[in-house]
Amino acid sequence: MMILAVASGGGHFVQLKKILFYFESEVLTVYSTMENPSLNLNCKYQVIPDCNIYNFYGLFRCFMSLFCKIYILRPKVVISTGAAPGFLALLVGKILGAKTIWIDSIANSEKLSLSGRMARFVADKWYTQWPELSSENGPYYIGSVL
Amino acid sequence: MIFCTVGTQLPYNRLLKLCDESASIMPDYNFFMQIGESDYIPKNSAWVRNINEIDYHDKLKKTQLIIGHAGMGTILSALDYNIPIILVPRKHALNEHRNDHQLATAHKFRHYSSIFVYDESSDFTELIFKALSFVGEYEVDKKSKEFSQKLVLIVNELLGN
Repeated sequence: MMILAVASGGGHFVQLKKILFYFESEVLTVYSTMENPSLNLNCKYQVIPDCNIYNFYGLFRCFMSLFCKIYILRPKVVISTGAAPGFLALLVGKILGAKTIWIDSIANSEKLSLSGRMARFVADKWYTQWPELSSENGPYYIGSVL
Repeated sequence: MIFCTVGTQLPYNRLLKLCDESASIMPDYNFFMQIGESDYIPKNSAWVRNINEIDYHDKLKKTQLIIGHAGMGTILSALDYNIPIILVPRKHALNEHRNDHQLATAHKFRHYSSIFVYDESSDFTELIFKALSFVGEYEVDKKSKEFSQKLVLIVNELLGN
């Protein structure tokens, strides 16, 4: 397994599925917070605990779960559309030597999300989906799901 | 069917009240509401608290109009299925979300011909009829596929291929 894609449920997951359209499913693993999502992708899937920035215990639990899973999986690239679990996945990926890609959710049209701003420190490639939010030092804009 | 949804995260009583009121004066229309953790229980419509992905997509196939919060998941579903949508953005001032990003999202998507944004100045039921009469199609897939293609190249570059 080479590529890990992570997003929390709902809108982040919908966007993740869209950006994975041209990825080869044989080398792809997806983590999200839902038990039985409709993936439309013929790749491996695992559930991770949901968490948000307001709950330290939740963050810790999610981090540990991700650490164990990613330690075994050893992906070469970790890619995420958010939110907090996606940020943690990039952090763990970085610690374990993977290259990391952050795509900030298209919902954040005025300002990057908090996890998106923190992702700057752990992302090798740091993207926004709104050209007006991009800057010379990142985040960069290369396209969007809409 | 008119599908009202509060999304996966937070309760949204104001949206459900609006939809339920319209449902009571539109008896010929079949409303269905996903209410999440909301306290408000619809009186004039079938409802569920939450819906799994498979049932969700089944419902969307039969949906003429979506009414929802201005969440990206809901907007993307509507665009994917080419269903007109009315957005009722959650407001921070009414404690409906942690901040006002849904107002910003709704604003960004105003120019889509199939997306209607509710503000208090208009009549909700009238807006429903307006949205129901929407006809038209547009391409949304192209942009996201281009984006996916670019990301594949970037991943390859990172892998040193």
